[in-house]
Amino acid sequence: MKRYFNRELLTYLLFVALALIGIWLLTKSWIPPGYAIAGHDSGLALNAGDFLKTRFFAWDDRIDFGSDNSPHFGSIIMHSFDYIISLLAKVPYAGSQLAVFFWISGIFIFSFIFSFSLKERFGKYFVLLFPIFLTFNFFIFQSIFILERAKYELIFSSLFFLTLAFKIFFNEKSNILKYSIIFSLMIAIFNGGGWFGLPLYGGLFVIAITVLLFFLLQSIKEKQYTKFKQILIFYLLNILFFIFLNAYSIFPYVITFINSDFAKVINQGTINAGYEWLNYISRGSSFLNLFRMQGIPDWYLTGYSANPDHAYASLYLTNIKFVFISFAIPVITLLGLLIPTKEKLEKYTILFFIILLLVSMFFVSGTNSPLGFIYEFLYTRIPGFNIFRSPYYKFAPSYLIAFSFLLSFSLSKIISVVRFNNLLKLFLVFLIIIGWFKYHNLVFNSNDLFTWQPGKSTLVEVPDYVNEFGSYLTNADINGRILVVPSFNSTWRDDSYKWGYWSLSALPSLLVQNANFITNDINIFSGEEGWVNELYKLLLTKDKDNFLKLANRLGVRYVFVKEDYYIDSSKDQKLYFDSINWFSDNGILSLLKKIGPWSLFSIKDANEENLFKLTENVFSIPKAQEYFENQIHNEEFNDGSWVDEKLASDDLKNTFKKIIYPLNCESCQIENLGKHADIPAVRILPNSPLYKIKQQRNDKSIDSAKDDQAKVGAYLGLIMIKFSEVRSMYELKIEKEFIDKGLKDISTYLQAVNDIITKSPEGLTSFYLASRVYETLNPLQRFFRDYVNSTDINFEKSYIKDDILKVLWQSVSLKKLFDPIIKQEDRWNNEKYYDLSRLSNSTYKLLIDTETLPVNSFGEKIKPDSIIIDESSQEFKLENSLDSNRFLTTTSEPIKDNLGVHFNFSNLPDLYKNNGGKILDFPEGTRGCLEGSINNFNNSRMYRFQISSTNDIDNLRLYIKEGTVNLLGNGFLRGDIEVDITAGTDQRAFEYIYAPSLNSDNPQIFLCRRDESIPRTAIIKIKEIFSPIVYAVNDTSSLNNEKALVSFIKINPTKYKIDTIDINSDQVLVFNTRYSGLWKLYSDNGKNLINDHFIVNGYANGWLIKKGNWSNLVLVYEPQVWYERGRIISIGSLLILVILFGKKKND
Amino acid sequence: MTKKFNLLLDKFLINITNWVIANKYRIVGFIALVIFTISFSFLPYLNLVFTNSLVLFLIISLFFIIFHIGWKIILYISIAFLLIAFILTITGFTPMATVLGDFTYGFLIIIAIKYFILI
Repeated sequence: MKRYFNRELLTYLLFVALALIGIWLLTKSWIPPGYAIAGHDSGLALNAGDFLKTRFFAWDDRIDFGSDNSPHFGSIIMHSFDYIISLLAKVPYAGSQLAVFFWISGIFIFSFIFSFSLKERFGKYFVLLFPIFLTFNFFIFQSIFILERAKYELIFSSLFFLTLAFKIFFNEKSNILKYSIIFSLMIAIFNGGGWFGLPLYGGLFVIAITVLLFFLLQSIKEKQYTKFKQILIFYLLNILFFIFLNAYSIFPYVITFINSDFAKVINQGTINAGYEWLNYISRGSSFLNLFRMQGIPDWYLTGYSANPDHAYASLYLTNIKFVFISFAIPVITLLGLLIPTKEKLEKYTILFFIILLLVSMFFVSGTNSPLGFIYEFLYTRIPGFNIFRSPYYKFAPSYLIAFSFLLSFSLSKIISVVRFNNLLKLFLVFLIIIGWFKYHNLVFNSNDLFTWQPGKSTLVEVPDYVNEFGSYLTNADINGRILVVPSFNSTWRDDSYKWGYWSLSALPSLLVQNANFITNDINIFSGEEGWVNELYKLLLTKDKDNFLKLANRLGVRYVFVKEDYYIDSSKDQKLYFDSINWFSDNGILSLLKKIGPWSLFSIKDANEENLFKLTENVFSIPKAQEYFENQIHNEEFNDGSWVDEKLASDDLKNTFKKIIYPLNCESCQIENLGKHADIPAVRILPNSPLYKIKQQRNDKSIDSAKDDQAKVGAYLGLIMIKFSEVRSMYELKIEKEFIDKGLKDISTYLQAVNDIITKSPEGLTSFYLASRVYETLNPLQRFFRDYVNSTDINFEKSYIKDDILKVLWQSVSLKKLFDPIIKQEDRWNNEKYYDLSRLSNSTYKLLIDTETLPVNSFGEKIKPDSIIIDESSQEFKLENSLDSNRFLTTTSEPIKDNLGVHFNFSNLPDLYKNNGGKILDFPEGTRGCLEGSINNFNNSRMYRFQISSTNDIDNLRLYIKEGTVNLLGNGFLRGDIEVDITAGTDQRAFEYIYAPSLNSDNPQIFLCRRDESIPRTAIIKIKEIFSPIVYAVNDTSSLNNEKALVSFIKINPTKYKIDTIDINSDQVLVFNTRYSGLWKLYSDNGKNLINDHFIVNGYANGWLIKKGNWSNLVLVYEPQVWYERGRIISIGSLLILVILFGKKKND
Repeated sequence: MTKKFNLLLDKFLINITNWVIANKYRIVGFIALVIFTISFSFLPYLNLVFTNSLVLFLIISLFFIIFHIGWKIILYISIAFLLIAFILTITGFTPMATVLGDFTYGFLIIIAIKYFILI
């Protein structure tokens, strides 16, 4: 007894107890009774018990159309902690004061265990200082606002790993098996919350790699490999035990990873999207900032300036006192290293932590360091490394441990060499700790700690009605989806409430486990979003019939209205509430429950739970046209199930009742020639030694082109590249021989294009080819014509002059080949030509999206006057009116070996509205202007401006002020777009294509002279550039409108039993839940798998069920099966390891 | 006073001369490497990688390596760099201070290697 409770140990226990009391008081001061930490991306449930229940299933059917939950099995333990703590705290939510105390105390205790394990080597002061530095610092405190339990768990595990690794290092004989069992159990408990949090293992990975490297180096240096072998065995056993103990979370995730996540991780789009974020996160983590124990991304606006919105960053980065302390920290850390250390193992330990610090700093700094290019390389080239797109947050634990170790070591060394008595030395330690707290004082303020943006905090007082509503839903008999109203903010997709809650996770999903809420939140997929948005639109437009039909189709049976929703526009909120009242007054919605500002309505006649459906009405449409499915409400399309023909099996194709083909507007491609040509950026020029590689790649692109069209494309691409090189060489004044070579190459390629096109003249009528040629040659011609017109040409070498003129001539000749179609530009403004050559010989009708038709000056849609099939007098006639239908339908016409169809529009109006002359002040001077606007402006359209004038054409400038005219404080008018007007070379009016920005609203147009006289002779005409969206529909057989409902039993969110299906024809079984290839449908009680599984309606699961009698159908989500298998292995392994550990202990 | 100063200067010059003689090959090698590094940094394309600060860092590192500078002296230099970085930070020359931070990191790598060799 005496052995265990000596005076020294009691002192340490007293220290720990005092620290825990301090942490308790601190957390108590942060979180007053009744308040909770919730929201942001904390995942802190408002009902911890209910939320825990959802973690036991691989499929979460509470959110939107359901989502995969298989990476989250590992979080069962973490959410169990949440639940136990909530029970102890006697509150329903997870983010209680006790929870904050638990996790911060955890960091303190594990850091104390680590430092205590090194007491014999590094002294008693080290033991006291290390836990303080590691627990109370900017990194840990910036994470408290969302209580990052997963991160804390891995800090516990990392510290424990180091404790054991150094036990192996210091002891000649270590019980590796025992250590492995302890650590495996430890990391099985504190596992970082599942595989979704895999990047959080970054710090632990760095520590593990550094430990291994360190043991290897030490063994090489000492020529003694025992310890290296021991650590290798420790690693191997840990990996083995880890896999067995975590089989319940690893197995299901591996299945999901192979099935879908792997493709996402290695997807170049994901990597590119994350790259911007990587640079953004790395902006403040320079080595200097890391030496100062700073570098937290939120602190910095740019690499060098403080973020003024951050609660305390400005003070720490600009106040000289704080800046001094931040520099004193690394200086003290380095100074301690200068105090001699005699013990060899101590030296090795210090070296280890220096290496760990250096390796960690490299990773933490991401792309912001001289070595950032290596991180960039790892990020872009190493498959899977892109999960570390937030390097600071993922690798900081190892950096923090290393830094805290070296700082504690230095200070304890300095204290130990000071000639004070023990009491004074202890007092010095006390002063250091007080000083440390004083330095971090600002982060202890609860207002600042939980505020993540001005006015936004995660510390909220949850109103009583929230929990009351949760209880009501838990006990209510809710079957079917609940539409959340108002919809989420379409930009941020956040769920935000007037009482302070803000999160990207929908609040209801953290509140109840037995209800399925649906909204346009961040979880929704693109294929699902169109349907949900359409439902909201129908609600707002009070289109009750279509609302009911769509709600029924989506399985929405309830509407949840939250009047406390924080919405930017009160106008939008009012529209929603007006609609709800209207639907309620008209008997479509009936109130089930109202608690405070929250109400639940049921939808009239939505009696069936439309989770499963059998249908014969299968329609085919390409995936890219999914919007058509949810926008069309014409009767004949209402009950259809949509599939993509490309993904359909032959059997499924035989069931198609309608086949929908999108038609391409060919003539629309030549309406905006050369306006948006992108000249490729040049990195390697012909004078580079690396140019040969580039040239080889260029040549390969031509060789690999399979047909003439591909070859033309390749040549045109190369012309752009060569032109870009020549232009850059002119700017950089590179030797003429290289420029000449470039010009000669362009000439060769132009000749090759010319040869191919003239060889097969059918290409000359191709709008696509014409647009490609013009897009390529227009910028080239502009550049060389400008050069030829400049005086520089006089000083040019004659052979280069000849080559330029040759290129210009060839480009002019090539463009002239397309004159027959290009020179009819005016015709194509009024006539739209659609290609029908892809359609097989059959009867088709056309559907025209009225949203894409032009409008007249009154805002009315303009219908085509005639729709004539190419080379015949055959004509499609419009069948329905513009008033009530989104899509215009034509008669059905046979199409046989036809090339295309012509849509003729006449009377397209001039949309320019003249508001008269004005004299306005611009920064360049006072100008006389014509002011005008665009009638029925639509910022998603483009407009063609035609400007002509008998007198002023070369003396005019066009200003477009998007949004309302805003005279700034200086009084000058500035255009968002400013264009100098020049007379066209062929005496045509000056043309400008205006593509409005997304936020433009009723732009004002000013056409100004360069003096104060009004340009009265100027004429402006504005016409809309439009490209109607048209579909051809082939009705292959008549529809069957009999509804065949399927009765089923839901065992749990991952398993359904379906009653016998007896059908006379092949039909599609639709499971109205997000598609996943891991949903498996078996017949005969799980014996036979039904293989023909595909996406229906852009998001749901569909199976082709052949005619006949199908009994005992079972639908399972496969990762759940693997979870259950893994769970047996995990429990078995746990028992074996515990027995083994007990046996070892007894030995 | 002047005589004493002259004597000190003489002693210093003798020490310098002795050091130069003892390290003549190293000095020549160092100068050659410095010239090579600087020339290298002017080459097209390579000048994108070999920035001024990297060249300076390489030269200092070469000096430490060629002349066998002890890890403690490098540590003192690192501390001095941090103190200079502090002054630069408070006077608003943060980018320059950041470069010194990068140098300190590089020096710590050299220190770690030398420390390891000497254990």
